[in-house]
Amino acid sequence: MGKILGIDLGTTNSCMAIMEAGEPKVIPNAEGARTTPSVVAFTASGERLVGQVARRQAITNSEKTMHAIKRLIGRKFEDQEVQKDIKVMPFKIVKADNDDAAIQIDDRRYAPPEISAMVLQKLKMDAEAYLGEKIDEAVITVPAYFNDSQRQATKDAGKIAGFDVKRIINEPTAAALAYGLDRKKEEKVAVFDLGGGTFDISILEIGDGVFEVKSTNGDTHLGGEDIDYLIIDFLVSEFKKETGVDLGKDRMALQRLKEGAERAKHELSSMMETEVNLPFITADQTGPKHLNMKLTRAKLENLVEDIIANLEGPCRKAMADAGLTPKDIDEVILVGGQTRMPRVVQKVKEIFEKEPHKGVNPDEVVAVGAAIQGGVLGGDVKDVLLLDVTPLSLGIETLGGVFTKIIERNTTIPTKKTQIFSTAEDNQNAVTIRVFQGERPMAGDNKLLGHFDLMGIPAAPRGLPQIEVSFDIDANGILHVSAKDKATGKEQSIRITSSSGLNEDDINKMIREAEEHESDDRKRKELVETKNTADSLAYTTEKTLKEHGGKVDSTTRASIENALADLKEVLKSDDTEQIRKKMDALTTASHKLAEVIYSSAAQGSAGAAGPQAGPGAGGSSKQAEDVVDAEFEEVKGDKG
Amino acid sequence: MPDEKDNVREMNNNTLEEIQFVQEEATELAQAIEPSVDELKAQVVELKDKYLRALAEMENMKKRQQRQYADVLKYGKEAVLKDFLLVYDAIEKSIASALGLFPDDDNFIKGLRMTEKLMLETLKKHGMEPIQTMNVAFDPHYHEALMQVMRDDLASGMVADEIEKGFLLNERVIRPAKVTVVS
Repeated sequence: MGKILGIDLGTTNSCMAIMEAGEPKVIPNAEGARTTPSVVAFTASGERLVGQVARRQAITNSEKTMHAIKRLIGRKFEDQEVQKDIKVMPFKIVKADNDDAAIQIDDRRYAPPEISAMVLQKLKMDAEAYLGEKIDEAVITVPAYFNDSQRQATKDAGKIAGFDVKRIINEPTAAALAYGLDRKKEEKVAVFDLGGGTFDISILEIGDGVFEVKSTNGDTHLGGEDIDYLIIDFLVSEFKKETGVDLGKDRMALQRLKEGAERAKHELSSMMETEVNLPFITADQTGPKHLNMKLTRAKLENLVEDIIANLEGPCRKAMADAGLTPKDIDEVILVGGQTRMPRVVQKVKEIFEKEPHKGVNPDEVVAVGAAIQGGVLGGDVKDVLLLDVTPLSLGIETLGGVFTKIIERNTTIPTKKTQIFSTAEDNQNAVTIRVFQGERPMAGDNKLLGHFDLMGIPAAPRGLPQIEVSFDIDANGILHVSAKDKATGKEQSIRITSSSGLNEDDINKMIREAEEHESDDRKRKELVETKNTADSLAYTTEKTLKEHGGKVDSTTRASIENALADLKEVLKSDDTEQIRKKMDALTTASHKLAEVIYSSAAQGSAGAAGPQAGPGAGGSSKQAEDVVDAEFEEVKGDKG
Repeated sequence: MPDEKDNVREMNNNTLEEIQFVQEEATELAQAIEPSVDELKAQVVELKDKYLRALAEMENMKKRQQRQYADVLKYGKEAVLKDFLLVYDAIEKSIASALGLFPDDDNFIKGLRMTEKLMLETLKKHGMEPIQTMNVAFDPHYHEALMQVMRDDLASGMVADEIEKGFLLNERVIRPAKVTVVS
């Protein structure tokens, strides 16, 4: 059982999506675009072009470039919509033997499903290439007002393309699915779909996962493109006023104006004002002409007032047909790129007297819903919902009272993480593992979940033993913490149930506190880490001095001993700066000692050569990188 | 003695009976738990399958993510570079406009040409290459036809004029060249 592809087979553009690890994901086509024009063309040489490529050569090959096939699919030739199309479409629309509408290309007749199948075939191929696996099943969307014949024809198109069409679902239903409305008990939802060329309003009734279309309305020739044309007209007329030149006659200028108008429209959705900047838009005897005009959001809204007003009628009618008033509508969803315009959103709010849902990309929301439906049919959606996350970070206390995270918060469980630690003192024969939960860098500020001791560690210099600490959270959220001495194999562990943790309010409080104390905590952690490093440096310097002190003269020895004493003194304080200074001083003083040791014959010193920069939280440079000194307390003492 | 032998025989018989009894009980028990064993077996098979699928999905996602990351590195600059093409267009048009008013070797035009060159080189540095439109047949994979024109000097289907330059980013068409085509 493979994955089921969700396809929004649109009049102008198509989009596809699929469930990936429980999330719907839009799949780009082979050209890298997230939508594919629903255009098919046959070239003179017999090549078949689909998508953007087909659109680009439309002008040179208008009779064999087919678009908006959705307006013909499943219809009879005598249909009003088909007859309207015949007047505007450059390709030949004819009557098939069964009275259906068909398309004539050269001496071959194509049924609309055959052409739509070519678009679907490209989507299939591109999806398979992107995912690296075969996709044989699909869910395809259709407008809510499609009749049986149109739905069957769409299903046929899928079949011809090589899909097993698991279901044909309504576009507004798919949109509702994308917003998760299928989980609601009983609701009335209005789906407001304003795209590039069409406007559809649907009223749905949702009950226990079942969707019923109560009514539909709209305008099949009203969309974003109409707004573009209004902007272009405005620019042309203003330009004429300023320069006397009529750009309306200039094909090339109009092309640039169209692009400039679209860009300006997009920008005004997020800004209050923009500029249409088109240098060298045209030229006459007096020289080049430039178009440079400011366009405010207010002016744009003024220009499109009528279009906005025309959105209301179909909405009122749809509600009336469903026997509902705006108050009865529980939710409103926005579909289609043009709904990004603030004035449109405002109008929707006025009509339905509530804030509409946004959030899902309006160009992709129908495909996303189809993918979700595919996921449900394929049975894989529910499994992933069972996975939980750990709400707060978990870790242990290490040298200096630092909280060392082992498992980061929001990690999906079940999960297991392991880290190697070591001892803090020479000949330390036991370690205490203190398990904490929280986000503060200092362990004491977090919540102690439990602790245990691991004993019987063989005597060794500090930093040498390897204690493997494991954090294992099972699917039920129960935490097992274990510590194992790799040398002896001795192991101790503790089991912590989720009830010894925190509830949601506590969690939020802890996260908030962590943010508030961030800079203070950082300083404290820095201090501790600096102290650890300095301590380590003092320790190794002392050791080295003991072993190799005889190799340098007494003046050098004295200076090192003084620097060492200074450092030990300042370590009693909490002055990070001073500690660093004294560390540097000791390092400098010990340079001579290091030189001597390196140049003398190899004496196989067990300790590290001379002063070293302590890495991280007091780890000696001999350890592997992931080893961190832990403040493992001896069983008898309590160093705190 | 006969008594002892009888006793032993009786003991043996009792033991045999016990053994038989235990055997029967064991068989019954085995039969009783068999259905749940079958259930468990079926569960194990199902869980194993789910587990393997989850692992496989993870692997697949990893592979996909790696591919997507490579794509992001390759094409991530696409949006930025595409916007800069507008600047390039303006430079190109300024040159065309200037040529209509000043001689070819005018110093100002020289400067504009140098600016154009600088722009193209900068774009090239980031993987952008201009699309060929001179003496080529119209190819919708790389060109967008704005208009058809009549030309005596060129064959039908050839690109007549370039209206706006097209660019490839690492071999992917970022913007097709806008051209007129000989009808």
